[in-house]
Amino acid sequence: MAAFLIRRTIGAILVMLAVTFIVFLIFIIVPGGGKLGTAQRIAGKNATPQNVLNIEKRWGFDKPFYVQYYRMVKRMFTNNLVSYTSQQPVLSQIKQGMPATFSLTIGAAVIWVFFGILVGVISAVTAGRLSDRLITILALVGISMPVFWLGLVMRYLLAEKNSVFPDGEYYPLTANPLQWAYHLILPWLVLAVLFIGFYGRVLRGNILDTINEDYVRTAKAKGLGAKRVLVKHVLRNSLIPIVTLFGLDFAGVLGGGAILTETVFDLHGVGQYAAQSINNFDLPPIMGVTMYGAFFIVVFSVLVDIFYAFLDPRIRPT
Amino acid sequence: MAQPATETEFTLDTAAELAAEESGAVIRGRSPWYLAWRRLRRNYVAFAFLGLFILIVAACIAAPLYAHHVAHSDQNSEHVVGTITVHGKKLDIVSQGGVLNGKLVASTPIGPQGFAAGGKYILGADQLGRDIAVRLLYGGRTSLFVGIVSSLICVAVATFLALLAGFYGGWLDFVITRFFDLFYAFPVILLGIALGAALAINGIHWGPIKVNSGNIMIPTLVISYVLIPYVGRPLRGQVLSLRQKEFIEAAVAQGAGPLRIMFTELLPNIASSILVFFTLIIANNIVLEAALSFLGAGVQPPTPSWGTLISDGQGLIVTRPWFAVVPGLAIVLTVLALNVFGDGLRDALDPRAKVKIEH
Repeated sequence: MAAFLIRRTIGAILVMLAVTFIVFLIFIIVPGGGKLGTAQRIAGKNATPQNVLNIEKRWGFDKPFYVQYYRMVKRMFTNNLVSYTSQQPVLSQIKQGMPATFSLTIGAAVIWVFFGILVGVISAVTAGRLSDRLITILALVGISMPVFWLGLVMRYLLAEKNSVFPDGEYYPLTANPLQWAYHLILPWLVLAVLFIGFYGRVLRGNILDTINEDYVRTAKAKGLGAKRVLVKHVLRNSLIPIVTLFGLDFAGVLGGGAILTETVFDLHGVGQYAAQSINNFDLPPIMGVTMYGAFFIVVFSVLVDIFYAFLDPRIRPT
Repeated sequence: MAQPATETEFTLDTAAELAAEESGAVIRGRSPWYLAWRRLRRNYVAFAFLGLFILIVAACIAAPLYAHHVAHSDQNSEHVVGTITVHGKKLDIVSQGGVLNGKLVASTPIGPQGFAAGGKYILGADQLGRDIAVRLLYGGRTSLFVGIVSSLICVAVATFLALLAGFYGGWLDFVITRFFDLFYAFPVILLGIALGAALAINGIHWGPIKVNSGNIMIPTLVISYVLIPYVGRPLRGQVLSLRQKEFIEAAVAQGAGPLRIMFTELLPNIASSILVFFTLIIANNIVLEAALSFLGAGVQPPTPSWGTLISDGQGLIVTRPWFAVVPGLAIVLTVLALNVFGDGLRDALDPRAKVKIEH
């Protein structure tokens, strides 16, 4: 177990290093730009020529690429990444957005797991019948909808035209838990729709595969009730891929995937911070959110792996 | 099995007779593609949605016809101070803002007119007096172009990498799979935003290669790039298992070179998966393009696309809700059509191929 932990941790550190290199490639190397072009891009739209010159010098854009890489990484790890448009340190802005992003993701995750499993089981049990077909079509419609458009329409219908729900904005949990939930119901549902459709479809396929397994036949043959076979034998095994999927999706949404929902509902989360920076042509916040988001996903996936290793000894040797 | 009408004893003689009868009939070989086609042919729902997709594509291709003969307005022509005549009344295309009866009124573009204005402003105008219906069709061209071309590039590159990794194995496979794995650490939308934003500011400048920031090839390349691992990884798995099969061994024994084995032996065997991926990735990429454009990291104004139209309509959602709703409906219909057809295609061709759809 110790060897597994050490190997997994070293692997994660290597991936994180690679992530910093990818961020360097995306923001500094790939767009190119020649003399002062890169500094101009980092400085933002309204930078004075003097600012641009300073950035060119401090980030070392006139030096070889490994110097540029080293300085960028140093800047990011020592909390010196600053948005030159708003003069705010990126990390503190990200920290401010975390409560909203966490609240949005956790609530939506509860909804999408619960309804995803419900939808998947119902359509698998009634496979081929009308309810299954209806659910399949609804799931496909859910998958095909752009989440920001659904959010926009829902916000207009339920918050702006008819005031069923409050109109956007995040309400801190510590101030009033009821208001917190009331403000988040609409974003939770909108974010969950896509995943419900997706999980429902995956689970339906898994259950239909598992139902034909020998051990299910054995369970039926020894006289277990249909409900018990479904829950204890079929569902338990069909849920394994869903658990893997959930780990990845949850980390992805927390690490920046909720950017669209946050923006549409004006929740002031981490994602919206990045989205606002796009409109200001302000790159450092996007660099920060991309890198820290990827770090979070890497760390989270290590934790999920360790959790798995405890649950399932077969994974440990690999 | 149907029993023969007259019960005769089965002897060598009758067997010979049967064989003689059968040799007269032509036994046609049926290729896997033919068998898949037979399965697909009965899936009327898939075909209905394919028809819907073709209809949408045709409508978008016909955008210039609509612009010149029905709407009499180009995609980017602005009419901020113009007027139109509806039922003999003159209406401002964009109403004047200001103080009216002591209340501050924002300037509002004209709403959907149906056919009352003789084909002009069927879906209303935007803040700059541009015809939304015209922009919707031209926007569809952009969105479909970005979706289809980016899928082509994505699937082509992913297939090539999968063939290389799966065929050669060893360190090449190690490097390519690590490259795929690395990109799973980034949420697709965030990677798209990072690349899109970095490239949208001043385009691509690599010595002689210059792509301007407004060019729609930038979002196309960004979108095709971020999804390569999602197609490449499952394809590599398939190539890897095919690599162990006897027919590859036979090809090697015949003296076939690596290129011939990759492209004439392995490629046809993963072609059905590639086709399914291609269809579903188009759907996925249309949504991704819309999301990036909505956030400002995709197609840049004034070029219309379904994503930028929703973004433009967002500011007018209270007074002119249809502005943001209609392009979204266009996306939903297009993507739904592709997803349903892609699903049918998968059931017919290869039930194993699985595309993860992310936003």
